[in-house]
Amino acid sequence: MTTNKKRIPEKLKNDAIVEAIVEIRFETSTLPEIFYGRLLECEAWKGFKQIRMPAYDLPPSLRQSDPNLRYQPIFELQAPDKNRMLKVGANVVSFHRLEPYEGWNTYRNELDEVVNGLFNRTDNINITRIGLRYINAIRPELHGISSLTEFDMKMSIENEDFSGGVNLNYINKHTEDLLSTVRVATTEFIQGNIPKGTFALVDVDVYTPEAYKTSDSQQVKHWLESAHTEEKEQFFRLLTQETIDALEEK
Amino acid sequence: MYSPTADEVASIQIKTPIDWNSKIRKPGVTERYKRLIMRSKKDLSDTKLENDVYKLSMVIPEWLKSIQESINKSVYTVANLEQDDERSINQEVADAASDFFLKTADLLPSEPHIYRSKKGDLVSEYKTNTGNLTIIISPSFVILFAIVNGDPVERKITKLNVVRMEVEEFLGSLATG
Repeated sequence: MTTNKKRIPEKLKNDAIVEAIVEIRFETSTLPEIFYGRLLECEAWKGFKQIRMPAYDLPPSLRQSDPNLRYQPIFELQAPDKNRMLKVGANVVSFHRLEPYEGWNTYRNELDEVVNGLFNRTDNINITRIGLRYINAIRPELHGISSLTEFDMKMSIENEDFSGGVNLNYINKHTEDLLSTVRVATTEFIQGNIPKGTFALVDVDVYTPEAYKTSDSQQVKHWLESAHTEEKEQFFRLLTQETIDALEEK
Repeated sequence: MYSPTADEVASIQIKTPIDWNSKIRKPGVTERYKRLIMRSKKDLSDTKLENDVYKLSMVIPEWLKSIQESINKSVYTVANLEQDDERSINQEVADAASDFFLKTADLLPSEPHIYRSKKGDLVSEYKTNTGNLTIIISPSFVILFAIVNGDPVERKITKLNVVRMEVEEFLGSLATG
C-alpha cells in the first residue's frame, strides 16, 4: 500500500493514548488450570491484585464450545497503580496499559515478559492471533484538533465537507501477516470512561490474518515490533504535518 | 468479519449503529450467557454432583428485574428526545446503571428508590438499619454516599472495571465503622 510518508515524531508533548492493548490467542496442550497456576508464579506480576472477570462464572465446557467465549479472559491481574492489567483466559492473554502511557520501550519490555511468561509456562503452544491496539482520545486543548476537517482526511457529501458525528472504519493490508483496522469515532459512538473534553477516538488495531500460526516466541516479538511501527504510521497518517510538528516534543 | 482486539475487555468501546439506535441495552456475549444460566431451571439437588451443590453463585435479588425494566423504560425515546421531561435518562446512563446493578445487586442493602438527577445521572437510594445510602451512577463514575454516626462518608469510583470490589469495600467499611 502506498502512503504519503510523514515524518513520525519520537515523542509527543501530550500523547493521546488512553489504552494500549496486546492480545495473544493461542492453543496449548497444557490444561487451563495448570497454565493459570504457572502464569501467576511469574515474577513480573507479583503483587498484582487478582480479580475474577464475568466469564469466570460460566462453566468451562460452555466457554470452550462457544467461539465468542473461547477467547474471553476469566481473571485479571491488576497492578497496584491500577493502570496495568494482565487478563487471562484458557486460550488468551491480553496486557492493557492505561494512561499514562510511558512509551514503547517500557511497554515493549512488559510485553516481552508476557510473551516469555506465556511460552515458558505452556507446552506445545501455537499462537493463532496477535493484536496490538492503541485507543487514542483526541482532545482539542491537548492536540489542537476540534473538528473532523482538521484531520488529514476528507469526508464530503455532495461536495460539502461533512463534520457531524461519525464512526468511520477502514481496513488496510500491509503484509501477509499484518492487517490493520483504523476507526475514527466521535463521542456519540463511544462507550466507556473517556477523558473529559474528548472530541473523537482514533482506534488503531493491528492484527494478524485469520490463518496465522506461529510457535516461535521471537517471531511474536518481531511481529509486535512491526505492528507498533505500523500502528504509529496509521495514527500519524490521520494528522496533518502541521499538527504533528505542533505536537512533537523537541 | 472483523472483530476488534480484546473488544469485550477494553476500557472504551466504539458502538455500532445498531447499539447506538437501540433503546434497550444490548448486553455482551458473556453477560447474555450469565443471564441464560441464571434463568435456567435448576435441577433438584439430588440429581447433582456434590461439588455442584456446594458451588457458590451470585444471589440475585428479586427487585433486580423490575429495576432493570424501570431503567430501560426511562430511556429517552424519539418522541421525548427533543423536550427534556426531567425524568428520562440517556442510553449511556441507562447502560451504566444496568451494568452497575448487574455487578452489585447482591451487595446492596435493599431495593433502591431510583430517580434522575438534575445533571441527568441516575440516583439510587437505599434505607438501611443504620441510615441512608445514596449512589449516583453516571457513564464515567459512580459516587457512593452515606452518613455514618452523623459524619458523611463518600467514595468516587472511576475505574468501573473494579466497581464490585469498591462497593464491597465501601459497604464493608460502613458495617465495621
